[in-house]
Amino acid sequence: MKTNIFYDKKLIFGAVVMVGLMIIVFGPILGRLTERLAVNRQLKTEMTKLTEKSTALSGIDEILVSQRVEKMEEVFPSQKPVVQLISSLSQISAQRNLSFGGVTLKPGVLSQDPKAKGGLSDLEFGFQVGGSFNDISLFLNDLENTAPIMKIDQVSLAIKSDPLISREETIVTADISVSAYFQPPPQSLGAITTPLKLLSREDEALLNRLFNFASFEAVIPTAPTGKSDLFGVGL
Amino acid sequence: MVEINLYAHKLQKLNKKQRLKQLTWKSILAGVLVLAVLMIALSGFSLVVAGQNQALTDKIEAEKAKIKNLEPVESKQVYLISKLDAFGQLVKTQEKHQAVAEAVFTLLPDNTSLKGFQVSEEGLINLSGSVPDYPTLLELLSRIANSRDLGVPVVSAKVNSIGVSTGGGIDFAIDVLIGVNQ
Repeated sequence: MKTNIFYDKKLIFGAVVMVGLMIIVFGPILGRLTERLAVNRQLKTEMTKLTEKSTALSGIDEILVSQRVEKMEEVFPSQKPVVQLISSLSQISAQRNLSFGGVTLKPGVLSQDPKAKGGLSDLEFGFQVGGSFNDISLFLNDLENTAPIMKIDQVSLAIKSDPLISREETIVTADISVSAYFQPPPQSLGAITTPLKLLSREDEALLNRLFNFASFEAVIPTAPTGKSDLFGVGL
Repeated sequence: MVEINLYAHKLQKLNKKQRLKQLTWKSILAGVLVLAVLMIALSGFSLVVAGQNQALTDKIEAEKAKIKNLEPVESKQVYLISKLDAFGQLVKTQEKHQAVAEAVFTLLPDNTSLKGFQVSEEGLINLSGSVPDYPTLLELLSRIANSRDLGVPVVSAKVNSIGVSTGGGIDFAIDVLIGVNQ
């Protein structure tokens, strides 16, 4: 009877030890497995995102996107387009046989928080053109289809017929004030897993309109101006 | 002589207990075996998942390298996307302004001197200037009234003032609302 009780106790002890051992052994195994499964899910999600991005990037026509960027930079530049603006205005007015002068420039603030107004900045520019009514009308049309993109803010017209020049011709003097726009480029690309936004049909149509803007090359003086390096050996 | 087994009941009870003990041991042994098999299976599965993770990590690294190589294309695409919203808005505004500018040029008769005009985003033009005589003023008003024939979408017009200027001409101030969204 005594042996029996001892045997029962041994049995219970053995069972308890076994359960304890199982918990000790199974705990870490289950923990590690759960952790690995979570990592696996995360890696699969990351892999899907990267594959999608990589496929999207491979599908982009590099030549076309480069051409568009180049044109966008001409039409809607990243920096103040002072030189391009003056050059374009003087060249359009010359094309339309208009006198060009009375230039006033408001360059705006020298540095601006790029996040302000969605990073969009403008440059106000005033000038005066004189010529025939029709030429000024065409000039105003040209203005809105010329790079850099600009908006006519104000036009003040003085329309007069000059009998000394011609009885038919109407001489117009227009004081025009325009705003040219620029927007700094984004500072970074973001995380590598950030999905790549693709262009919609509307975006494509808008980008195609870029090529309707006429561009004029900025005329930069080639003659030496200002200080020169006296010690330069001209190598 | 009749043999009476006084231990029969006790022996039966003892046998039953022995069998129960054996069953318990067997059950524990079977349980341990099942758990051991389960442990091996879980460990195996865990190893398979670890292997998969390693393979995925390698693939991810390869994809990242591929994306890194395409970074110039990505930066150009991001640049275009970042500029498109603002560019679209500017193009729309420009179209409105162009419509207004064209409208003003179409409405004005020759010999009109425009002292100024202001245009609001809604297409409201405040015209002020002078004309040399009444026929020219009538021509201007007639053009505004029959603007549809000239292809100018004038929604409404209001003559604010008309007066004779010191130079002999006629000064005018007119508000014209152009339907820029039509």
